[in-house]
Amino acid sequence: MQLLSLIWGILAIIGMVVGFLPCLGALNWLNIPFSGVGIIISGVALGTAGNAPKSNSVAGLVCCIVALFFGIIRLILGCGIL
Amino acid sequence: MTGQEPKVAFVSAWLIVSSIALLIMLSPYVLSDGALLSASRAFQFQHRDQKQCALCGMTRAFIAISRGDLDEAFVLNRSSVALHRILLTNELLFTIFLVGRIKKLCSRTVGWPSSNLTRQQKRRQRHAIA
Repeated sequence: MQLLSLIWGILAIIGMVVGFLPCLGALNWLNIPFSGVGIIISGVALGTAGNAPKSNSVAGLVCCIVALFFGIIRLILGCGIL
Repeated sequence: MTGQEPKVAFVSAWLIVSSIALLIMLSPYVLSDGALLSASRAFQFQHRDQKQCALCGMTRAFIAISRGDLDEAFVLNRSSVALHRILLTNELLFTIFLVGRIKKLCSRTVGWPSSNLTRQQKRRQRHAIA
């Protein structure tokens, strides 16, 4: 679960970077829900970690939050299309 | 976090992205031109300033590259040939990585090819047999 949240976070960041390209802003309509699911997964991973190291799930959570935040800003800037 | 886990995560993410890129690269060979163009029409937007962006004509350029017409691809989108080469290099690395992993898996499970020996040791073995 820890590793999955980190992989999810990396993919969300890649999606965000691709969504920053001109004409590909609409990709954020896919990437924002994807990041939302990543936040849930990271939250579950954090909750079930117990005493184990939580750095993977924290990194995944941060990546997903960053992707969600900048994705929304990019979507607003591109009027939801561009 | 152990030292190996971030590496595994990055490699996994790279494998997923490369698989998607492979599907995109193979689509002009598998789907018809009409199906591809109608699918990409969903992503065509009227630009507010009526100027072409960096990705305009990329689908048609990739179709032209799949036919081997690099000149037409360059006319349709200047960066298409470069992007295609970058993706092709990535897919080559992806294939090499996968083949290496499959070989390692085979040597662990079936015992072929024997990966424990170095090239020099294998050469010595061949010389000894000869």
